[in-house]
Amino acid sequence: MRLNSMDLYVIGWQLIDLQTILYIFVGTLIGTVVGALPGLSAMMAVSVLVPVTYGMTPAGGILMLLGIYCGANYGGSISACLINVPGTPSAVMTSLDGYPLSQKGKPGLAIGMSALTSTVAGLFSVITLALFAPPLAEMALKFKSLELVGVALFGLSVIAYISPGSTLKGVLAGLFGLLIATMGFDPSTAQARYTFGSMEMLAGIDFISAMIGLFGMSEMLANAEVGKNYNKTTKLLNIGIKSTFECLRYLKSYKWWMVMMRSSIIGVIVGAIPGSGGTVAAIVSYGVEKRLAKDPSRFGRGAIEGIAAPEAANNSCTGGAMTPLLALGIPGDSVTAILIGAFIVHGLVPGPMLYVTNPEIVSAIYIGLVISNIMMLIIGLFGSHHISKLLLIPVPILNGIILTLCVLGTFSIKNSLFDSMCMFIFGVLGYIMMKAKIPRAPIVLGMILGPMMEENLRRWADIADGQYLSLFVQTLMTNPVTSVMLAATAFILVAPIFSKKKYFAEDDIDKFVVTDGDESSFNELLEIK
Amino acid sequence: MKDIITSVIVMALSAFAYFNAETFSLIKRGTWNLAKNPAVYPRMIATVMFVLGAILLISTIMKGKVKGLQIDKGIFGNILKVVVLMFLYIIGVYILGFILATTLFMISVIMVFGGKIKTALIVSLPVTVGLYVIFQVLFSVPLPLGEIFSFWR
Repeated sequence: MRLNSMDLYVIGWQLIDLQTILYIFVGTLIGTVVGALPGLSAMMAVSVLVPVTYGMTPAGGILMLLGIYCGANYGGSISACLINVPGTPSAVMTSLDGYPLSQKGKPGLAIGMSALTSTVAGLFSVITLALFAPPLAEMALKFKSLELVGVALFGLSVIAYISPGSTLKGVLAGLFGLLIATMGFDPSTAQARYTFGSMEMLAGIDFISAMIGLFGMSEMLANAEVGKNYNKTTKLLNIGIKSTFECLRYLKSYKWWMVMMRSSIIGVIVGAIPGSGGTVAAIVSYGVEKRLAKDPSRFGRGAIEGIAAPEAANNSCTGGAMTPLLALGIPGDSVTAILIGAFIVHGLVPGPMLYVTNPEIVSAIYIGLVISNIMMLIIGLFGSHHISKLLLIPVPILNGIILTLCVLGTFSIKNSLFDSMCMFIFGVLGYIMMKAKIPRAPIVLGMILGPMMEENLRRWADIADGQYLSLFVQTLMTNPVTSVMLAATAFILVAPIFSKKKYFAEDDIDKFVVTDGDESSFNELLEIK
Repeated sequence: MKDIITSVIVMALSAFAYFNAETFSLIKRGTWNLAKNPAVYPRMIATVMFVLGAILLISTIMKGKVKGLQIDKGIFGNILKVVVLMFLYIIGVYILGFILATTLFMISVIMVFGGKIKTALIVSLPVTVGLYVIFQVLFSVPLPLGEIFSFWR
């Protein structure tokens, strides 16, 4: 089948039954709730819930996790509008206008508007995903071993670059992940490596347990820092969320559609750049709208564009981030890095081969993303009233439940204590890494890409048969893709030495969040972009 | 200080990985056959890691920002409590089974996170049963039944 044939848009329907739709709904709902609760991240939710999908069909499981991913991107805006605390970093700009609008007595309009824009932009991004991923995948299908090593290196260096903290530490974390990936049987000679005489280590360390430890348990340990002083004073605006449907009248507005188009395009492009995600997109699009506005002073006082633009941008990022994932197997952001793990659990490897081996899954992903985005609108318009009440759940109970899920999830991998213990070790390690400002996502990506990289590197070495340099030069001469890929990797790794400023990195945003949305730091931020 | 500790640990770890690779090097010392020798690839990574660790060490010292490490005892104590509870819970799930171990874990962990004892006692069992239903019944993920109850089955 040709990759860009129309079949790709329809064959997925055979996998979408009522049960799968239910899973998508549950996933989107969980995502929205997790997104709305400050302190719970989409990364945590996806990694902790991967084991829940073991009993599901691959399509059902993956679509549920994608639902979480989409829902979490939207959910952040609920708490941003109601309590002025962005539930996810990407909702940081939404709170600037969403909260003032709620204070003016229109929380329904604020939340409804963010749901509507999220959905419209999300659908737009699925269309771009369906249009642009197949040709990219077709190109990537021609990759041979050295190119695949290049892809893995590129993915690792990108995630090291983008993660908060220095790129050097990110690379070190990635290398550590690659090293852990070598534990257990060597795939080509069946020799045991770094097993220290343990039987359980022969199969290597399961990256799911590492993932759950690094993103689930360690974040809960960070929450324990607050201890008895956790924020008990969370107050909802005590106005009922009514008339969420008021936002629908904007569908008739030409100006609104222009805002949507601009923000969605920004979102898709920023999302597709590996490593940069929703937060950057939201800031950029907010800045663009503020600059284009006739009366910029309205922004920050409840301007409707101030909600529409960042929400549209951060949600259209989902499709953008999925593009390199499906076409090249490189994650677009840290959540998609974890999604790679979910694919592998279900016996699928994201990347160009997926279009050949499992086109129906790819197709189901397109369709599932559309459904998930529509669910988001339904949840936002009908359910936001109930979800907002969840903001009042005591934090200690939530933390307890998540820690339990960490143990449950890892135990269910092979029904053994070994994986839970690995999770525990990675949980403590992850916390120490957070304190030492070392990014955690590169470890997981290293563990996931490691086996593929080693296999291809050694296959290439086998062909080279000792003549490494001459074959390397020969490959570079005959195949421009490899040279471009390796040059890009080298650039990403070397660039920070010459320039202190990281573009598209999430560091600046942290600074901004810490300063509580102070106007001057925001302007500073816009100038950087 | 954190960066110095990090770099020293990284260098020690990579050196260990490099020399430990000797134990599974199939081909005699000094062979750099990447394709056939399972030890070469891990050694390559360990070497790069060691060099980058050294760069981190040197650049941190050159910047001259070496400050002492400060640890807040209150915060540290709380985290230690969670870590110990988690460790006991993992073993407890295996020995006592899911329902019993989780209920006990929930009560204690909610209190460590600052919840009231009343909330902890009221909430724990329903939450545990809820999780049991979701995992075991809805998603058919098998949960540990507890070794000490094995005579039961």
